[in-house]
Amino acid sequence: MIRVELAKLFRRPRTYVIAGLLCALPFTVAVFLATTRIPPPPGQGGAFLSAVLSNGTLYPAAAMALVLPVFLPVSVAVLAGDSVAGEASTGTLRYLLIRPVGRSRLLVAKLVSLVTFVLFAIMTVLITSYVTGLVLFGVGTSAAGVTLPPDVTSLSGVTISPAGLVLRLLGTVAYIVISMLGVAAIALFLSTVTDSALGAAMGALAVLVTSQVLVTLDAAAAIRPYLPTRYWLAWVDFFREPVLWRDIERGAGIQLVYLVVLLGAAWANFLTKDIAN
Amino acid sequence: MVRTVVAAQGLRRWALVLGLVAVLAAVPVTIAVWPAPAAGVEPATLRARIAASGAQAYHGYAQSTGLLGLPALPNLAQVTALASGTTEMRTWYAAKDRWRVDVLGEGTERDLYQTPQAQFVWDFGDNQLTRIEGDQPVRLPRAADLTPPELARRILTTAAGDRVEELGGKRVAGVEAAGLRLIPASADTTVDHVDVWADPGNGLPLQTEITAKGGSRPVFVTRFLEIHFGAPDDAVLIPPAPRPGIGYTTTTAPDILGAINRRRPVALPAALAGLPRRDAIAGLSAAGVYGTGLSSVVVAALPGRFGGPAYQQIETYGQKIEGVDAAVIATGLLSVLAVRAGNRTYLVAGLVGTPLMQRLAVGLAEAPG
Repeated sequence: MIRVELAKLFRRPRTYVIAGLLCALPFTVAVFLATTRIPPPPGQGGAFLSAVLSNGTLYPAAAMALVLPVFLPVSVAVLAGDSVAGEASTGTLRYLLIRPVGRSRLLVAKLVSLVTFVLFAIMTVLITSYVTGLVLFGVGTSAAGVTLPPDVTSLSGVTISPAGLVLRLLGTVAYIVISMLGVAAIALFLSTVTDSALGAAMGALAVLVTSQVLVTLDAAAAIRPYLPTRYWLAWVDFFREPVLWRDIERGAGIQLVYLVVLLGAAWANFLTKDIAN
Repeated sequence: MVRTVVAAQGLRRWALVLGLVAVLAAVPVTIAVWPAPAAGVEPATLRARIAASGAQAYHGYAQSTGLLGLPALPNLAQVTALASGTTEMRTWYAAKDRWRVDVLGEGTERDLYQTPQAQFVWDFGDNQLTRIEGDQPVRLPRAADLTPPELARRILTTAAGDRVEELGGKRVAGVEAAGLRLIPASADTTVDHVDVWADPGNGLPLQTEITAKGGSRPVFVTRFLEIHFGAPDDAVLIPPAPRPGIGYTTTTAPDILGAINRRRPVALPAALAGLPRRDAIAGLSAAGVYGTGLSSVVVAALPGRFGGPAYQQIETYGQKIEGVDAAVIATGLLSVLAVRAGNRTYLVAGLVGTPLMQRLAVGLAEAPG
């Protein structure tokens, strides 16, 4: 079942189109930065963007900061919203369920397929942005022509060795995959409620936008720790020295809670749902 | 019949999911409302333990939240942000001359290291390392002053003559802390009371709340969200080394107040509005402290190019004071006054009300320039 879903994922051109669009945003930003050499003011603009001008090896981290807030969750919401509702609206869900597989297994297979997509998309962004960073910003030379060590500077000012950078980027990938689980679970649940893939995706995006607005509102401080997007940017803490695990742990925990609850709700709804069309 | 069985199965599944939601939602609520046992420490004893807690090593994660609503003043934006927003801090404290406080932002960080030799500031946004040498007789407030231990000890020292009452215990960052309430006697201060919760054993303050007169809830809160007692790892207390690729400077005056103090010595009056000047620190001339306890005010004399924009900003957001060239912003807790006298601007700040600020404005306008 999982193999079928994965094959379906990688057979569809839309997977590559979405990954390509995700890669295009950091590439466009890099071209502008490299051409104008105008970094964003300190504390403004995307994280790490001001640092990449002096060392291109940090560009994958800057690329993550660019795609995570909007582009990646929108992609996940669209795909997750389509996973069950899309099958229902095109009439293939009935034939899918005729096969001797349980509905629970189908849901799990859909989720595994979504996680695989997130991994694929992030790895694509990381690899393309690393190459972009090396080509456009270079390693070891600043604008003044001073030779720099191959290490990159952490947020705390101490250097991160190349091996340390790889480990932190892997940690980032793992954390972002976990962060996207909540989005996937919300859209997957809505996808079992409606036959409209667009409706499910829009519903998930509405939840995320509401969460993002409430995160910035001091009046909503009491519920802030429980909002799905509260800890999305905590992966930045991998680049502090020592690594700040507090928000990373909380972010992973809250995503797992959303996953368990919403996957449970999707399961409760989908197992007894009438497949009308 | 078949429909009934299916419906019952569906109901059972939904009941399972809703039960799971109820359990998960109950966990944080239960932790929040679980009562903390009374620590049974006399307020005077706790106050003495807090005063002596400077030797207690710790490391933790703290958060301060100010609801004062001060506008960003030119050259003072970092200071006004401390009073008007949320500041997230990571702190390691080994001894009075060996500590580090990181101010964390989204994708940025500003760290202050205290070593026995000097202080170091690392600013990731500016890609700049600064070594601060020598004593700083006068400086602006900074985030490291707002960690619960620093703020509580500073307030209790400043208000040494004010009485304290016992306060119920509270669980702060997992520690069952003992509380005390400081009630200032002065009529001039805007502070109604200051609540401090500290570890009953070692006296380390874990949460400090300041409530203004007429207010029902604190307008400034600083608390630990995580605390670990014991010496931090030595490696985290070593500042980054200067190296190619990052900026590096050495200074003896890291902020605007220090710079003015060194370059523009100003003679401040010996008394203002009946309040005697009480500081007598060698090398301090640009700023003075008047009054006692929590009704103390700090007066700084700024030269025209710094003072002019600050005055205009305060005049825009604050109230004009009749009869003199002065304006005041009163936030309910902190008041900031700007007075123009000749080519000099005086900036006054303190936890005092507008009536005292008006008297100070008159006093400064009449002071010999």
